[in-house]
Amino acid sequence: MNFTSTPTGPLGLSRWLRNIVDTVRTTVIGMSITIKYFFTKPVTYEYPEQRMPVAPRYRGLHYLEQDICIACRVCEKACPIDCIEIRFERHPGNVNEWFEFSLDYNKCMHCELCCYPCPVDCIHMGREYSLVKYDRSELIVDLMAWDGMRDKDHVTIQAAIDKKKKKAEEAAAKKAAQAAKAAADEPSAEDENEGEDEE
Amino acid sequence: METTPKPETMTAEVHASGLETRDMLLNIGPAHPAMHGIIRIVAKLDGEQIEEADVEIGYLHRGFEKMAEQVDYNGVMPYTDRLNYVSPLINNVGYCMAVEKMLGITVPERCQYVRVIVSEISRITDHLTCVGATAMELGAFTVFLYMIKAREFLWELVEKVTGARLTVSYCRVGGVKGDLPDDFAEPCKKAFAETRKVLEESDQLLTRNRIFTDRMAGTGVISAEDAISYGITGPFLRATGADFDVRKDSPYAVYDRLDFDVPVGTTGDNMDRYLVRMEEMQQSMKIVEQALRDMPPGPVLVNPETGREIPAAEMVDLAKMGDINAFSGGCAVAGPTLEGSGRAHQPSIATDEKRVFLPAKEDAYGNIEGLMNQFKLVMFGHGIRPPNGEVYFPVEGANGELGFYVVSDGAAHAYRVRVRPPCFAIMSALEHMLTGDMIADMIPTFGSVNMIGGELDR
Repeated sequence: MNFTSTPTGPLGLSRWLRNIVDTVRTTVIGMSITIKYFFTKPVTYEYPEQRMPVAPRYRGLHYLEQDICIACRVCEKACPIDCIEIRFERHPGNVNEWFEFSLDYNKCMHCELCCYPCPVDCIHMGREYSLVKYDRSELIVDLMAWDGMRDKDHVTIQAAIDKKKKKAEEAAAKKAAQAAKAAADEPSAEDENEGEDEE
Repeated sequence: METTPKPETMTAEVHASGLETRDMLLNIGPAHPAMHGIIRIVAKLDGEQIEEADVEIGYLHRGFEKMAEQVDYNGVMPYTDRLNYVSPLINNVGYCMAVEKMLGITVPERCQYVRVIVSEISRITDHLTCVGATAMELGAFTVFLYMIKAREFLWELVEKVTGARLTVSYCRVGGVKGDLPDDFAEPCKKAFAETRKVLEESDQLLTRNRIFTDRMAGTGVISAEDAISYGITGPFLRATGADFDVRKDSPYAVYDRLDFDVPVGTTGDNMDRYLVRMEEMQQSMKIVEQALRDMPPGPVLVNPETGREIPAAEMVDLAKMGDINAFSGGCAVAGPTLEGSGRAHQPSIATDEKRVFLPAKEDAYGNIEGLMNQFKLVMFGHGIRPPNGEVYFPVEGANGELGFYVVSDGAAHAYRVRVRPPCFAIMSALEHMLTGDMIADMIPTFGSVNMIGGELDR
């Protein structure tokens, strides 16, 4: 240990002088270090005017690629504090009608656990970090780009419905044909049945 | 001899003159400028001397252990960040290694190096905060600012790796979230140069400063026997002369391959604790430099075999169309924050245990095994399920031995989690250290304890 430990013993003249010398010496050393900083550039940023660059992996506010989201609700489940809320309705043709995909930033702690399980890689964390609002209720942010459905989705749904109808009609026609065929073969079938009954 | 009055006669005279002395109860805290953390100390004072000190803890109790029973094993990660919030990465590593021990899996070598690197950077930030705050409470505000400046550079490193400065949530059961950034050694070198400069300056400002040494040396003394009987670990125990370090005595990760010294004090006073912490920071930087040098190289992002990158969204489109051959040899470039999903570099930072780690997105889309693996981990009623059993795993936290005791009953969340916080043992010895000291000595003693409310009260 090479620091000056407190000397023990009676306060003699030598120790009194040494105290003074020590005090002056350490003060001079300290001042000479601190005075250097007077001439260097500050490392701090004036926040609202200047902004520190954030890292590429920075975990800021979320953004959602709604086009590729399949509404599987995995992110909702992965969230440890349940701050994601998803409401949607699935229509024929795998079209989702969106009502809500909201994130409660009152609760969110930006842990990024929602992003990893996503099977289509559609929810990310961006680099924006300031979310200043006047009211708490405004912190519940909807991540959707559009509500409900897009125009072309109606076409997809209609196509799916038409396809379904067509399939149903085809199936009905097939069934009818089968029934007709069965009717043509009816007597023999009946005979067989009667024969079975008799036995 | 006759002129000197005997003590009995003196007391008699005092009583006779009506100058009765009484002890004074002084309430310090829970919110007090000299208390970094919420804690209450009821001190019984005889003049300026502390006769008794009643330490009252529990003001920051949040029920961490109960919360850990409610969420799945990876969901505990954000909560562990908030245990010792000055070095959250060590908590992350400790919890993950406890769960991994229970599952019986080993993580890849590169991942172990990554965990060591981030742990040691955290240890430096913790010691910088502790020493800086202690110095500030003794009036050396400049040192505090310099040390916080150095900590800022280190937290920028942490931000580069994890994406957050304080609430990192970096580790996952079976690995870490993402690899180190490509050019991590360069900023690391720069930040360490700054930190070394700050440490040298602080050393000049404090170590030989008369005021600082007078207040630190000889105060808050605890002997090695007492410290061991209280269960104290970490720099606090090492300052008393007992040589115990979890990194040396039961090495975890790759600490047994790294060359570092464990500084040990002699007297067990505040000055020794300060010196031990200052030296540990130098050793931690040495460890990080060694680890960065020795770390096995791992591929990053581009598939080394084909060298082909595919944007994640494009890959999803191809997969939806069923054109799996179009992206089978490539490697997905995930979103800006999703650096950890590429198949090429995932094996270097995460175990290939399919029970615990999500498959790369290429696998989730490219083959049925990957898809099933993904679903088995994310669907309700599935997830990481360790076998029945209990496990205790200690790591060397910044304040001492940080242990996690996890009990599993085979479900997707822990049956019981218990933390052994290093602060807790030190706080129970605080009364022992304060008794007999002056009231002004309480400030450096409490500062060198480095009480962190988050891990003490949990």
